[in-house]
Amino acid sequence: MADLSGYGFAVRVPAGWEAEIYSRAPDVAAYGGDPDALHYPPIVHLTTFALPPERGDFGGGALGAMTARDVFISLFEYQRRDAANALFALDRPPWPLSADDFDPSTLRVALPGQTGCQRFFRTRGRAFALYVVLGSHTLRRLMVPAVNDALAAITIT
Amino acid sequence: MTVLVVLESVVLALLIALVIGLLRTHAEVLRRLHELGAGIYDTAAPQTSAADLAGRVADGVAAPRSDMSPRAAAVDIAGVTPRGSAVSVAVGGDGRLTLLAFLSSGCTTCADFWRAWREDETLQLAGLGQPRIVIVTKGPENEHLSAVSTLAPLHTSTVMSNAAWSDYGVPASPYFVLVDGRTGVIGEGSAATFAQLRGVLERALGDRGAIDLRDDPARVDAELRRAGIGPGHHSLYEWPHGPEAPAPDRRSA
Repeated sequence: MADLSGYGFAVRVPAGWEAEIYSRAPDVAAYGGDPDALHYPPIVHLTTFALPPERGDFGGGALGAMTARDVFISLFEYQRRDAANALFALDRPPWPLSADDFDPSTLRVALPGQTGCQRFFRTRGRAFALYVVLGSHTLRRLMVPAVNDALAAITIT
Repeated sequence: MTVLVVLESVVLALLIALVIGLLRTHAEVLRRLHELGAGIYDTAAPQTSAADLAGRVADGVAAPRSDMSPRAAAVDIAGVTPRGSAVSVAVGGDGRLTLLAFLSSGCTTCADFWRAWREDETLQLAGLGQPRIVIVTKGPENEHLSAVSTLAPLHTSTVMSNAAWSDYGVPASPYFVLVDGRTGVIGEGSAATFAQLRGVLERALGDRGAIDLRDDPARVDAELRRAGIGPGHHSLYEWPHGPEAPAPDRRSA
């Protein structure tokens, strides 16, 4: 069981899971050369499958490799000023999740059999989106306890 | 007449010198064979230790560990990526087959492996398919971060971790450890080229025999119980899409 930390997160990675805490490299040119306009969101990924080095912040490019029993979790931080928005009204982490929180229509990219859950929240003055993908909607009841164990291993500092 | 005798003497002397040279070469060959445990007059079984082998590997290839005790456990890899992210790679667990490639930015022999994985060369192992490749370098405190960042392949995980080198007892780079997530380390060793690596790994697999990668029914049952799902639970009869499937009693009717 590995302990990871960075960008105001600490993760005690459960056995059999993979994790990465990262931030995108700045792309000043894409924003007209104004560094103040840039936001480099810190992101936590937790998965039960091999994380490809190149993937999207919400799993793009990785979710197709999931089996029915795999889980993908992304905890994506927005700018601090967004925490005041109504979208982030929930003032605590939304876990534990239940099987009823998952719906295939929540998926950003619908892949056959998969299901997802997305929640926005704020805590410690920081704004987040939690996005969870399960490899199988049918097996969601079986998988949710492991998802909650993994989410409980995340500390936002 | 005198000239003829002198010429014959010179030729004879040359022949004698040639025979002496051949005998010496023959003796040297026999001595080297004896050292290798393959002498033509050897009757005892060869007593070859890792320490004996240490001096015989090709230039640039890591010598085997002096401690050859079995190390069964699969240990997950934790460290940082070349772009500075904190990362943990799962090696243990059912259905996982991982080749840990311990490389460094400075070793000449490693260059062929960095190149091969940058060019997405595959490593198909007979009977076991394609293992997941994880390149492991020393941590940023012992490596050149910018050099590793340049060498790291786009599509292969690269982790910088001193702990991983210690956990797997890596003697030098390049060094390779093939790990089955359930049974632990299958084989390990070094190689001079990417092509040679495949042979080394397939021999290790052959020595170890076939590996059972099937799921464990007892573990599956325990996982289902933990989620509150027992025999007859309605979730076992749901279709992936659409209405629930008929219960078993109705289905059999």
